[in-house]
Amino acid sequence: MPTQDAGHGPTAALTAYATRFTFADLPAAAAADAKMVVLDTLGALLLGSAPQYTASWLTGELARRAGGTPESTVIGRDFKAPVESAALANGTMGYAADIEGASVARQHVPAVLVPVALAVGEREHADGKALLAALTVGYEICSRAGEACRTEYSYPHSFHPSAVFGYFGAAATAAHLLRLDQPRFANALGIAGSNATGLMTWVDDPTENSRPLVIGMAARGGVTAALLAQMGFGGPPAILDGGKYSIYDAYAGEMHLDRVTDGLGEALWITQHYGYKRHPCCGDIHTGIDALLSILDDHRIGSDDIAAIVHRVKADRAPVIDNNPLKSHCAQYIMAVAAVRGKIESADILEDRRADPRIKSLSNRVRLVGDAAMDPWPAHAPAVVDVATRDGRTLTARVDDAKGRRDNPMTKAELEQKFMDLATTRISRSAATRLMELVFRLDRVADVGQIAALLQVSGDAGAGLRREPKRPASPSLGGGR
Amino acid sequence: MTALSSRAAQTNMTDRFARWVETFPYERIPAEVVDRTKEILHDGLGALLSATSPRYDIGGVLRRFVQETGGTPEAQVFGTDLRTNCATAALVNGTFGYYCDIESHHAGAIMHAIAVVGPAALAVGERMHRSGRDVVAAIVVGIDAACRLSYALGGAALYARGFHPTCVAGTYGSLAAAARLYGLQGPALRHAFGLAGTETSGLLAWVSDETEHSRPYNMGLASRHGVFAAHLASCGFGGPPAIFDGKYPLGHAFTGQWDESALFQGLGDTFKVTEIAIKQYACCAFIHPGLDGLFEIMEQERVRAGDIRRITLRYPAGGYQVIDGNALRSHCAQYVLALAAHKGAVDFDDILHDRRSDPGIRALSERVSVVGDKELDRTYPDLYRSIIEVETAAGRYTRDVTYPKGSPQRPLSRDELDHKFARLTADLISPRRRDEITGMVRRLEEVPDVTELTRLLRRDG
Repeated sequence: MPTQDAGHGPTAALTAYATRFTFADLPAAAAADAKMVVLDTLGALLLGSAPQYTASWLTGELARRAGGTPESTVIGRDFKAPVESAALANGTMGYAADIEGASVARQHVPAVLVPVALAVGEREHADGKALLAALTVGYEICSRAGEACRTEYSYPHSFHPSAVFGYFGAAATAAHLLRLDQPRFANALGIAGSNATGLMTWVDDPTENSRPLVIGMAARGGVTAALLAQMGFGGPPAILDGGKYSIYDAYAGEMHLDRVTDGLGEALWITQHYGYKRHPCCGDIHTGIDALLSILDDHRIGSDDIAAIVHRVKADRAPVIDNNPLKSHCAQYIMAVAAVRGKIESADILEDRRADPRIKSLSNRVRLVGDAAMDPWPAHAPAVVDVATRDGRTLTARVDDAKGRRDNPMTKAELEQKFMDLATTRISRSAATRLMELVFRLDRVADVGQIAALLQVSGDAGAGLRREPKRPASPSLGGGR
Repeated sequence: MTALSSRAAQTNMTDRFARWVETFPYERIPAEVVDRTKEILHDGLGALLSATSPRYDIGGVLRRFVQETGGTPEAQVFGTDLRTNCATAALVNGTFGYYCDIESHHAGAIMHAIAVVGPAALAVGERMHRSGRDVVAAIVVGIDAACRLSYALGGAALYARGFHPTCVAGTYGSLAAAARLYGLQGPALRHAFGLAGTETSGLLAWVSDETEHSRPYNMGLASRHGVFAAHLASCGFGGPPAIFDGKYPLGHAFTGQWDESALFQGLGDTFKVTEIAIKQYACCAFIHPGLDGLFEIMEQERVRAGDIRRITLRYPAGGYQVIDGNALRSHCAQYVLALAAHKGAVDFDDILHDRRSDPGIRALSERVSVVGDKELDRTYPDLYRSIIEVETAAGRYTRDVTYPKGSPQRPLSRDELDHKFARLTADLISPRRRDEITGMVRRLEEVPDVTELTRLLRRDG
């Protein structure tokens, strides 16, 4: 089998670092971060595995019909599938409910990587330490590839950074769990790059199926690339180096090669993430929700008292969330639901609450304003909300960091509660509790399969969201009031 | 070329094109187009099977991949005794289809259409037990879709961004063929168009991959993308319903341009499959006219390789640098012409492995010169007209070749096609199996179930 040299460029440096990286290189605080990332994503995966999330359910069906070696669990189902198929279905689940956190570098990193780490880890009977190390390596590589392209330039090119760079992260996490040597690790990144894509066209798809699909595709693409590389399939050996035909020209038109290796081995990307999400909708609307609810709370008014809402965001954040046909990404819809119902639940995205005339009417009175004056503000997605009341007052609140973001963090207890709320939509309280315990001592778990076993749901429970006595069918995620 | 911003007012192109894909009937395909399609398919199958030869490492790698991941046995992995699901079969067969770089291509669209469309049509045709006639129509429609998408996006613009046209646009060839054979109609077909766009990809980064694995992998990916998108949509999965038109249209992502007329001009009246050239040599198409001239001189003037003192290839000045002393053997006229003079053929094996270890080939390659000729620029890049001069002790012989053999203007005879197929598959299948495959493809439109053909494409013996 021909072996290629990755040369001496940034790809070689990055893959040399990645192949040497082990759990021992993970500081204790970073390991704790990584475990919380896994826990939070598992909650999102379980919620997203419900049949109501048709994208998850149908990619699961596809995995069933495609058949093959039963080696990796399809989450929330009662069967296993080849690791590729499981990565596709579980990756799609990861972003289905849009409630997973720990994004970084403008990418929904854990939605791609946690499913990959679990599927490959289960197949390889990896231990928990290997899973945490592989997840950390995947974070490094997709963040660095994205930063080198300047992910903010991908959007104007219609490419979704979470998907495009997710291929590289997924390949890295899978390759690490497969213990590929450096040339094969580099080949895996090259093969994944050949396949990397994920368009923003999902914003035109009101079924919301193709939105999470691009994440599943990245997960599968990376896994396929790592498997092929393991078997001796070749690829471009230095995919992150630029060169004649580079990812930089293709996806962004920007190239900052120094960012591929900048600070490598210092602060890990997994420790830099943006925090966690409390509401199951586009993260850029969260500050608006928090501001609106604080106004209603502080002034003790209800939605019937509201004449109009003006929701100001940074100018560059506005286009995606302004009257988007996807309810999860539509500020008008989300703000109206939050005002009337006091919170955003997953069911508010799955069902159209505009059947309620109060919500329908109020959503027509929400105006989103992209305000260039806010662009220099240091916060990622701040919001200023003005509520005009029927008695003529204008009440204003500004929120720079939504609850859950790293500068306004959720407590460990709140995150645990969020996990339990999400997980128990599909599995029993006792199973969810066991799962949480396993994740918190993941570095002492001998086989990732122990976790996968708790993520299976037998056939009859697949008929709908599991309804625990006295628990909401869909979680309020600590935001209820 | 229309600017993207001016397209807002136009009607829904996705719907219009999808309607053609779902309704265009076999009966509207002229008999000679059916015949040409079968030739292209047959030629593509020869190229595909040849990739599974034990001479090459890729067959073993992909066999292991299929064995390890497994899959519902819906479709044959050609040249092996394995069957798997349609999507994986399309991935592997599509990769095989381009590996030896000897299958046909559409020069204007820069499209290796049959490598992508053939495996998709056969995999889904097999799974659905479709007739040979349905499969032929699916291939005709698929090749049109692939080539037209490449023109719409702009092949040169794709290259400029580093995207591989056969992969990015080829996905729509696979999709169109697969969708017809799955029987996708209405909204599901429009969703499939959207999903295909969401999935499609393919960088040219493989030019740095000396294993030559990731080059054909792009064709496999395109073939799988189309099959997968069609299958997903057939299960009820939603997608962007107007991928050519919406807020983030396909053209915007990959090239920033879009030529609507390329999609619709002559649609259903002219057929891209008739514009495809069949390759005789596993090397860059630029060198093909010169190779024809060389072989003609050697045959008609009874020149042997050892007699040749010097070869001069005059090539359009606008493109000669591509083939003059290129480090890539497939694109190096010096290497290819010297090899051809000595071996009488240009096989992929001779591209993969450097034959300059043979002192005769090495010495001759050093006596080949490539000259840029401005006169030849008049018809370039539409034509690769070349003048080749061979000098021996007995004299100088010249040939001026405009259309290489295998091009639509100078088609290969049936015997020549059969000879190529036999040479490509000689170490893989028996003469009897070869004749069965050839016969089956020749009467494909009469075959009630295409599994009769796919069964013949499994490993022989």
